[in-house]
Amino acid sequence: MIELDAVTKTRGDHVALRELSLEVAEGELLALVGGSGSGKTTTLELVNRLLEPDSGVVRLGGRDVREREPAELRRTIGYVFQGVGLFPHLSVGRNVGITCELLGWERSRIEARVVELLEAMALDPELAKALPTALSGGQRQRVGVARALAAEPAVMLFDEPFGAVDPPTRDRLQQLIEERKGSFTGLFVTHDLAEALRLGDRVAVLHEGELQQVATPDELLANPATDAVRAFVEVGRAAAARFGSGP
Amino acid sequence: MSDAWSQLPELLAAHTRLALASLVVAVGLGLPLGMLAHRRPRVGRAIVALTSVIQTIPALALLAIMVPLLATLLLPSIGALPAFLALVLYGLLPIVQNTLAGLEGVDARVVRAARGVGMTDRQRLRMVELPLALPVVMAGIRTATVWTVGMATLSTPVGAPSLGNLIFSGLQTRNHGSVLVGCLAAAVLALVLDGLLRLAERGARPGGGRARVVFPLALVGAIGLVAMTPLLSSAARSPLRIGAKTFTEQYVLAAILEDAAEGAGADAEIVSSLGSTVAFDALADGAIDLYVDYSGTLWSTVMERPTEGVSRAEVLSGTERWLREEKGIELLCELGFENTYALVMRGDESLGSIDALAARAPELEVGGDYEFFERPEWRALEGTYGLRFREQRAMDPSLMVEALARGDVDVIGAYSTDGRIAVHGFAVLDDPQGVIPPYDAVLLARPGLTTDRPELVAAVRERVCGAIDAPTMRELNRLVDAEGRSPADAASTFR
Repeated sequence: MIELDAVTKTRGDHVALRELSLEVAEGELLALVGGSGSGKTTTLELVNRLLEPDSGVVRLGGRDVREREPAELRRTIGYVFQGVGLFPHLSVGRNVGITCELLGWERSRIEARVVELLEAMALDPELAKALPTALSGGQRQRVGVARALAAEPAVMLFDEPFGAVDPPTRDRLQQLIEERKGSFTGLFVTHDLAEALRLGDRVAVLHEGELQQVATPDELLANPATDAVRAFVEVGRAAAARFGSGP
Repeated sequence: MSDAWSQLPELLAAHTRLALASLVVAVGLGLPLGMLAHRRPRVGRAIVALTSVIQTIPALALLAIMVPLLATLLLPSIGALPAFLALVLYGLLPIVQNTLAGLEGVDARVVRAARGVGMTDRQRLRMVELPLALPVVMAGIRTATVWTVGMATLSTPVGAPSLGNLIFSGLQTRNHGSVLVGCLAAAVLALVLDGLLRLAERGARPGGGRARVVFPLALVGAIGLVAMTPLLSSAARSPLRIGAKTFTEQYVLAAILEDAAEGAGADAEIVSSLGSTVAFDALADGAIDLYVDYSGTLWSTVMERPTEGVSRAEVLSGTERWLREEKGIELLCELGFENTYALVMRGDESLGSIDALAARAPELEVGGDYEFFERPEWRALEGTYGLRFREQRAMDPSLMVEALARGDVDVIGAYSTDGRIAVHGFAVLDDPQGVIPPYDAVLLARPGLTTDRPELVAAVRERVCGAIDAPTMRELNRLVDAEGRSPADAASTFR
């Protein structure tokens, strides 16, 4: 469904991604992990054409994304942003329904969809009238997920969406994603190994722009393919042990 | 003062019209330019640099430059158009700069989200960037508003009526009440418009509601409409337009001409405080119908002829012929007095003649109006008598006489008909070499006026031609300068 074929991307004189090839099957959620500067976010941005590759091809459903208008392509892809990125001057309801609005849905249909999503995200539908500034950090992040899901996209991209929320809220948010797995094909970027293992059908490890290993959570823990993966797994285990959660 | 109040409504309307029209166009140009600058940084730097350069031109100079510029383009060079263009240019910088700054200040994550949810560039601008930049953009528009309303007072010398008329003529005729009324009215207008725009901006913030945006803007529109009404009602008739330059004598003479025209049953209006060459250009263009100029000024400044050794009669007949043949302007008659530039000293210290002055000049300071030291007559004086002063100061003509009286300067280049010369007991120095040309006051009519309105021209001629001698003129000037009466009031004593 999502297919990156030998994609290279340089930013300035720094190689952000080198010859990356990766496939996400229909209905699969692939977790993408790695340290800072490993190329995780760059990978996501190549899928919805926020960035263009220097070489290589990105395909969705077998079709080269460059054949499609960027704006039109992005309306078919749900994107949950790092740091949420809600529009501060628009109500929560309009934030959630913005992609539907851009797609030209009827107003009543958008309103119904907004209520449905807010309820699904365990938010009071009355909040639709509020401005994002009136919400807590966890509530804002749920609105961000609701906005990404609103236009019923077949493809979802998550860019470290829960990095800045407290652990209990984070747990509930992860649960919301878990419940929806299978209804979309997705890439989930995180630097948190525990989150990757919980949500990913498979986990891909990036290190300094190069793909180290793609494997199921069990296999990744059992047989780390490179030193970089081993180090990442060790650090993740140590953290999990300290806080008493995770694998 | 009461004179100032009676002119206020009309001038305030003209001022508002000019400022609002300029502002609307400046916003209409500035917003897209600011957006373009944001989208294309390289073009943006050029746009901002250009608008900044315009801003460094002094406001009065920018207005003055418009006159010859428009004349070269064969457009009306006097009146509302040059003022309007200069104000538009002046208002651009804060609008362009704040639009750019506002757009660049939008949180990069929000911009990325706007792209990510599938907005096109245009949708992103309209739905996200502009609304978020609005407070900064509006601050720029408000700055432009205050500037434009303030600078519109300077459009008087290019022939656009504004509250500046009260300020310029008030300064000239030492009518401080009139200056105050003009300044206060401009300040109140600026504050009201600024306040309404601020309300609209507040209303546009999230949760404000449409009415809170529309209502203040509608009020601004209503102010504009009210200011338009005199324009509509007076469009049908065309009053006789009488020009006046920027000194007392000119205001008085214009008032006498207005009186004469109205006595003959015509509507007349005074276009006052025109720059010296602006008045002449306005007459040649037909933007004004009548005004009084001086043969020597025309001879030396407009015709650029040498002034030494020509007789009064030669200057007069030469000027008359040149005006008729080159410009189609009719020199109707002489009024009966001369007003020449004269070098004037305090009576008790007078050296008698310019010859004697030349020897002492290196110890003395001389004052003159803004154009005096640039005029050919001054260069001729310097050349012929070898005048070299310790220092020369250009100053406003209304302040010059006081400066001499107080001893701030020792000699001034004044008008020989200035009523204050006698009041202060000043002495006019002789010009034994005859360098300063004779300045007969002459009444000029625009091309075609005599053919268009023969009875009116005849009536005006009847009233003023040869009827004003030098003592009369000096007395009329004195009434204004020394006794603080209004030019119209002084003119009414002339029968």
